[in-house]
Amino acid sequence: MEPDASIETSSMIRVAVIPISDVTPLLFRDYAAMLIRHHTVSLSSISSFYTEHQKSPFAHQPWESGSLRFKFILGGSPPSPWEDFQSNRKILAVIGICHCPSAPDLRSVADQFTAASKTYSSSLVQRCFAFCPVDSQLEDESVKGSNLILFPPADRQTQEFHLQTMVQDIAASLLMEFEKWVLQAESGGTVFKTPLDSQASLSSEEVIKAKKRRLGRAQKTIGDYCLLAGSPVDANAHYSTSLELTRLTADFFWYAGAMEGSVCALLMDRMGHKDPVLEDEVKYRYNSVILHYRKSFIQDNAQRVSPLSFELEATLKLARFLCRRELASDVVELLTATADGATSLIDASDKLVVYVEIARLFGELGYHRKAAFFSRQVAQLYLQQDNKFAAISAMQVLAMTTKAYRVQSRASIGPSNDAGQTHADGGKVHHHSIVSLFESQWSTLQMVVLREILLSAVRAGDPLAAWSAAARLLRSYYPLITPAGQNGLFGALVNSAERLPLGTRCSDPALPFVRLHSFPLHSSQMDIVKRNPAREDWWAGAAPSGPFIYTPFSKGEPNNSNKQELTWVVGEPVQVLVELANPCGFEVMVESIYLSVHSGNLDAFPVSVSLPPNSSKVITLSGIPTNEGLVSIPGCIVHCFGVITEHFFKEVDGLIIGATQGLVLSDPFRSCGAAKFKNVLLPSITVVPSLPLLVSHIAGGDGSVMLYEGEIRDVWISLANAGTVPVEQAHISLSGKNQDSVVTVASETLRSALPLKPGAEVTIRVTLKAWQLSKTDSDAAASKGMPGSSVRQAKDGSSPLLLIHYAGPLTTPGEPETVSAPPPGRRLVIPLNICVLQGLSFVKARLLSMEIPARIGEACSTQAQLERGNTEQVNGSERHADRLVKIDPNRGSWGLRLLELELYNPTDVVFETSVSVDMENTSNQENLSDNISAEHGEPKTRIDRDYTARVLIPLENFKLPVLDGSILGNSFQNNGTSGSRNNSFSEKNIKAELNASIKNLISKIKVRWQSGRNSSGELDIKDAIQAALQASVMDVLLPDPLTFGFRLAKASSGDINVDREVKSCVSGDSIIAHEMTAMEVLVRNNTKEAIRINLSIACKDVAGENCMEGDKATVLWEGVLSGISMEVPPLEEVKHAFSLYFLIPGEYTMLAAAMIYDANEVLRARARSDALDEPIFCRGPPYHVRVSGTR
Amino acid sequence: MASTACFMIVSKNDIPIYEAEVGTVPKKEDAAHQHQFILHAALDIVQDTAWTTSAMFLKAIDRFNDLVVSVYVTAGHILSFVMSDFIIHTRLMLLHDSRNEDGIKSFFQEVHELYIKASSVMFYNLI
Repeated sequence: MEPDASIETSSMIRVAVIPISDVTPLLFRDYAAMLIRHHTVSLSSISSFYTEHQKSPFAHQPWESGSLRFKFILGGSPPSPWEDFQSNRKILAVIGICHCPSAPDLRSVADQFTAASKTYSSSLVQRCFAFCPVDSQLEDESVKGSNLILFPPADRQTQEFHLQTMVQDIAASLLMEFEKWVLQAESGGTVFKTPLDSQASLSSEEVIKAKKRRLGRAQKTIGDYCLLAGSPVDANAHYSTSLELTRLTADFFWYAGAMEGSVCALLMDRMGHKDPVLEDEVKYRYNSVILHYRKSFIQDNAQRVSPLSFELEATLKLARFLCRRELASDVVELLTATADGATSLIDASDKLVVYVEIARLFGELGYHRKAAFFSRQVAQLYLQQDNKFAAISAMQVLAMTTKAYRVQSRASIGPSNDAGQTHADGGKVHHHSIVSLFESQWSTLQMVVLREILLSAVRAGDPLAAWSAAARLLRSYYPLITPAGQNGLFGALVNSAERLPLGTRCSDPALPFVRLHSFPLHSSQMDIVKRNPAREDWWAGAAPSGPFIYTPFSKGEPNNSNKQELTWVVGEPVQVLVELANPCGFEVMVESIYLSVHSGNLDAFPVSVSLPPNSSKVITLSGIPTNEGLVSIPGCIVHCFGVITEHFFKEVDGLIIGATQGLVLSDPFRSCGAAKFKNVLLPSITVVPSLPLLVSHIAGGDGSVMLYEGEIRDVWISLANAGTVPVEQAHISLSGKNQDSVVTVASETLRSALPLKPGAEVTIRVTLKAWQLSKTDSDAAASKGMPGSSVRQAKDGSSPLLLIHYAGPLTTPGEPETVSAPPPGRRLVIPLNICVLQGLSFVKARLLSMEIPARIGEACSTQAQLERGNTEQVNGSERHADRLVKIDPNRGSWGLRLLELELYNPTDVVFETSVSVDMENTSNQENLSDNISAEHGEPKTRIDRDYTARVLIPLENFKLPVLDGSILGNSFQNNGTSGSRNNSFSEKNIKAELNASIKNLISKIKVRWQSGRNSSGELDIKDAIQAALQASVMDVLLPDPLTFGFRLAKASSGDINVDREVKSCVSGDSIIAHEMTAMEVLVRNNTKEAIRINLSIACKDVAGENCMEGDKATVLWEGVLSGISMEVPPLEEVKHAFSLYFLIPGEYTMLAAAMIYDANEVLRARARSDALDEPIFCRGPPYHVRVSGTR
Repeated sequence: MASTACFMIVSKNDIPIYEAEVGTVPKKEDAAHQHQFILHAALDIVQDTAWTTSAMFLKAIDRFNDLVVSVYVTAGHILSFVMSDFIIHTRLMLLHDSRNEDGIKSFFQEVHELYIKASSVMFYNLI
């Protein structure tokens, strides 16, 4: 049984090619390859070497079109017992190959060759080709005449030509030898025997039988030689004779042989032309061949030798001839029959050859599963032989079956053509690809095949193949393998790895399963923002603006939401999270795992990790981009079980998708208790050149700033450029909640520091003002029972964010200006962590009115002016303190109003508060001094912890100087003349005006506080004040129409001399009893119109009794005290002089009152009187008069 | 007499959906593997033979050693037609050593009936 048999094999001259002397296998193969190219030599080309010694027996040799065919047997082969039966099995020529440089002595080469060729007794021609002889060898005369042929060193083409010539020479020699042989055979005498013929001593009957058969056999053999000589017509003639003769002698075996030869002759004659008729003929004849081989079976020697192998060989030859898709059923039938027959073959190697041939033919037919099946049979036969080479063969054969069983190694698939490709089609994984990748339904078969590969690889001593098989087995079928089996595979992996050199790579990954978990986003410190070169303020569009996540109108933006895009920066470390799973029952020790980067522009850092049995882990893999461009990360490189493998994310994704669809066995991550699968798309990652990198640092710690409500504090933020590119643009903006708590940001400082060189630092000041805690916040604090120390963490998101957009230069220096997009800018987000503590809390505000009687004195003529709020005549700084609390002892403070604020200190520190009133809106020149005075002079109120304190704010100051048009008057005047429509409009106006005035008033009041050395702030009590004032705003703001004042007259009479006046001033306006005291009552009109009044003056004693009238009058008077009619011109004062004579020393109170005649509407409104004819009274403040008894 | 029989239902994409050793020969693991290997290989021949005849029962289409593969091809899955390029036959395959053609045919017919009943349940998705 021979491999590679075909019908044409009968016409091939078998030539042994053997290495002579020391030829390295590589060189031998090289030289042999040159030789093998000349397997067909045309007859026309050898005619020059051919000499016809006698009449050629090949009468019909086609010298023009025919050829001789060689079959080179490398290394030679032992002689076959069937040589006589089929001459093509004989080694008819021997060619030695020698490499001269390694065999200096040509003589010995010649000897060796002669010795070697002797073993081929059937050989007719021997030649030894010696390549590359040195000069000395070329000149060596001793080998002349031997079979040694030297091929002088030359280029390849020349050598091949030389070789061709030599082969033609051999062909010619063989042809001549064939002629000789045929002539000799025809003359008779040769005995043809096969192992089938009885080996025992021939009985006489058998001798006669053999003699009869000899002629037929001789004709067949001559036919064989004719075929070898390339003369099919001659061959056919001889075969025909032989067929006749053998049929007659019932020599079925030789009959079949002759028939085979005749088919070969037929095909040779047609020279490769095939047609259906020929095919039918061949089929018919070969069926007869098969039949006759079967017939020749002799039961006697069936144990020893059987023609079965010839029958099978003939079947295979026919199958090979017919092997076409259209004739598949015929071929399958033939091959099935062959397979059936193979079971009864005695020789194991025959069986092997049959199975190999069957597998090959099935493969040729496209029946890959059948081919794989028979290949596996071959492998099993190899595995039955217990030697290393058989194991290697088994391994190789099994490796060929892996494709059909879909367990092929990734190495055999070739470089994965789409592994590096990102999910261009949106991550769609096709059903078929999953099935083809993880078709586990034939898992039994797949596991058996892999196990056999593992077994054969171990036996063959190929640790890498063993490792790969074990890895595939473990990775794909771990759910079907018992823990003991898994441990066995683990052992196989480790053992194989021990035999492998360090750092061996294998294309098949083992464990663990690796899938992409996520890409951590840039920290807010390193955010990258695309820069639009067309816009100066490229940062403006960067942050999402508006309340909507999706705006349907922004369709112009290439905003592909499901396609993630990442930007990495050269030189800045990046991180990728991957999840590892070990679903097996042993611990997996991953010596190192790092990102596999096919684009080559990322330096990945390896990490080592250990996975306990049945566990999964999420780990962070990092790397540093080195070059700009796209980065593709299809998977990870894993060094585990002693071998380096590449694990692709895509495969695991496919596996997991398959698991969800029930196509594959199990999801390794689910079985390890990992989180549910989420399809993480591999984003397209771009690496951009180095960018500047600002790093912020808040002076005094990056923690949150603790501020009491309303506290104002400066925070210093230092910004350093940690990148390698200068910052050339920077823009500061605010975002987040409570933005108004940032009072100022010194963006000028930053701008002036640009460009900020790498390593440079700039410090900017940010002024913060703590916001008020909402009601719920403070309630919550109170309910927690920690009113003193309500230290609370700043709630997330309640603090404002400082956004700094910055960017490097538009183009890199040294590079020509490119049209491509400029390097992106970045955004630094500095959260201003403000933790607001509850500070002074406002409890309530009240409006108080006080009546502080003034004393009558004559010293100061400025009272009236003061009352008007006009500070033109500021008489010294000693009055500043008094001004706030405007109690002038010489002046009545009738209806003084005070705003009382009750403040509570729930904290554990001491607060000091001070009230200031900014008199900004008073007359201009005085603003400055007034403010200064307010600041200097404000008295401080200390509020201890857990105490409540009250702060008073006098409101007298805010009286308007004139009761008049701008506020009330105009509107009321108009009211009289114009219609009611106008009226309502005016009312609105009034309201607006009033509100404005109130606001103005409120804004002037500031309650500042200070705590400790560096906490200071301002209470936000505007609303409270407004609420408190709302009711009585008119009283606070508007002056009375008339104001009254008393004073001692300077020169009322001659008696009261200058001396006393001075004294009285000095002694505190003391008035002495029993003296006539001249006094004046001053009436001032605060309106813009003259007022006619009826003034009356009263004096009361301590008991409140009128002491000027009645029986017990204790005061005598001179002048008019009641019913004084006068007209007070607008905005002017009128004096009315009178004198009093006190009889008894003591305290008296002077009161002035006036009834206004013909009050206009302004006055009426002010007095809140509705009736037109109702008289309007005005009372002045009470004035105290102290009358002393003696001087 | 102990007989070997391995029954298998192969669905589209040549995925086996059912496999059972129904013979009376005592079970051996190696043999079971071998049976599956033979059936798997026979799919190549079924694939071609199914188109050459209108009969559903393909008789013994393949054999290895003493084991014969008989196949019964069901009519195409109508539903599958939409999803793939060609009509998929579900193949009922029996590997056996006895040559009782009629018995095998009636066995196949019975199984086919049951299979149709099972696959008609609309909630049941045979891969």
